[in-house]
Amino acid sequence: MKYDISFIVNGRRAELSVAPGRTLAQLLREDLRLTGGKVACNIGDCGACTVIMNGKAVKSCLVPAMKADGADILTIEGLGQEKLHPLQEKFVELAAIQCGYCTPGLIMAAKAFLDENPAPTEEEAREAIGGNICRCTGYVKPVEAIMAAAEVLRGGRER
Amino acid sequence: MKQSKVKEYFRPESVAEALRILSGYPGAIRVIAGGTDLFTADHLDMEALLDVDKLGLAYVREEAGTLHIGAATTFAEIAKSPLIREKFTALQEAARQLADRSTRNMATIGGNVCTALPSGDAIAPLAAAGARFLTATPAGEKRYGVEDFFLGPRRTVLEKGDILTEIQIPACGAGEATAFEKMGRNSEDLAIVNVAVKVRVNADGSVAAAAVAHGAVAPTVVRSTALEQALAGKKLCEDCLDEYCQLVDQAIAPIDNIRATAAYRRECSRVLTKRALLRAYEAAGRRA
Repeated sequence: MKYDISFIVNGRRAELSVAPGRTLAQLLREDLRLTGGKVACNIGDCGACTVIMNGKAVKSCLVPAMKADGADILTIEGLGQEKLHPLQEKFVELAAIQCGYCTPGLIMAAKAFLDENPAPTEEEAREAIGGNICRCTGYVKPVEAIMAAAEVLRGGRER
Repeated sequence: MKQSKVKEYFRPESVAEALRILSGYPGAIRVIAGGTDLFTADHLDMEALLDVDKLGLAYVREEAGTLHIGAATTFAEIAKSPLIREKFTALQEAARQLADRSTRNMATIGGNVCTALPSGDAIAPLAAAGARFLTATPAGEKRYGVEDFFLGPRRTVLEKGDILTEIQIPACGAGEATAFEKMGRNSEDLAIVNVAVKVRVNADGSVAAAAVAHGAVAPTVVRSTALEQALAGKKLCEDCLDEYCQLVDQAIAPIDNIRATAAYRRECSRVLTKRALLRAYEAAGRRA
């Protein structure tokens, strides 16, 4: 059996027919071709599939696709559509990207976090990406990028 | 496909409707909340899912000295609840250490309880604080204590057709405090061991009552009754706790597995118990 569901993704309405055993990650990547978020571990450990659902960061490989019905979802493709978001800008500027595989997930986790806590300490920023595994950077540059983006978002002077 | 045998998905809007669906469904149906445990694997024995996220079971409130936590309350909500921080500190500490921020946005306390892993981070605090579990069943509402609810790893008294709806906990009052400690391999992993304690102090600073619950060291969370009795009437300090915490050995039966050896779990349980007792004892003294 398939179910008709309707939700907002990156500001646009999506209407899809979905099998009930699928995940949000499958829905986004396979049905909507939003392949920015990656599926690596597929058991909720790595965070590469992180998207924002109803304002909160979630690991889309663990979210039943059926929970998307009625939800408002933001993926990396919807962030900075016309101009890069400050997080994206700072990740580029400070070279917080090496292979790039974890980057969409890291940025979405950081976006939801900064929306909730615009003036975090570095410790809080580290904790916020505790569910996102990066094997290249050692997290130093991503944390610097998140702190720098927070400053831009607060309207502070750029470093 | 994540759940390749699941053919139907129900998202009812009342507990009564949920109970009707569960009792009427002819095949294997599972209750799901955040999905963070269930969706880590393809469960080939499941034909249908019943999602509880529209049942109105996400809340934290206090009534007449009792905390009421809806089973579908996420750990993110518990972690930031001022009421939980003030009156059930151990649960807030557990919520903040469980998995990671993104997982805590979906994972619920009811899911942690019903999954019933011996390492479930919410379970030790609930055991130490004397929680009661409310379930909705075809035969009406039932209530269970922690000691009656858990039957073994991933096994509870819940039968097909039953739903955990609410958890009730005596709120910490004057002279009472709780604390939680966990040791894990990394920030996301299940606990190697965890422990939660509740301490009540007398006006003279001696322990009036203590409850100590250990996770990941037995088939279910277990209480250290010998230690609890030994602490009654004592004033606690780090040195004397080194001695009392040897009694933890009598309560636990850890195993060797991928996360740690049994011997290491015994050592960690003693150390974490000491740390939790000291923190709760000092906090209870400040609240006296």
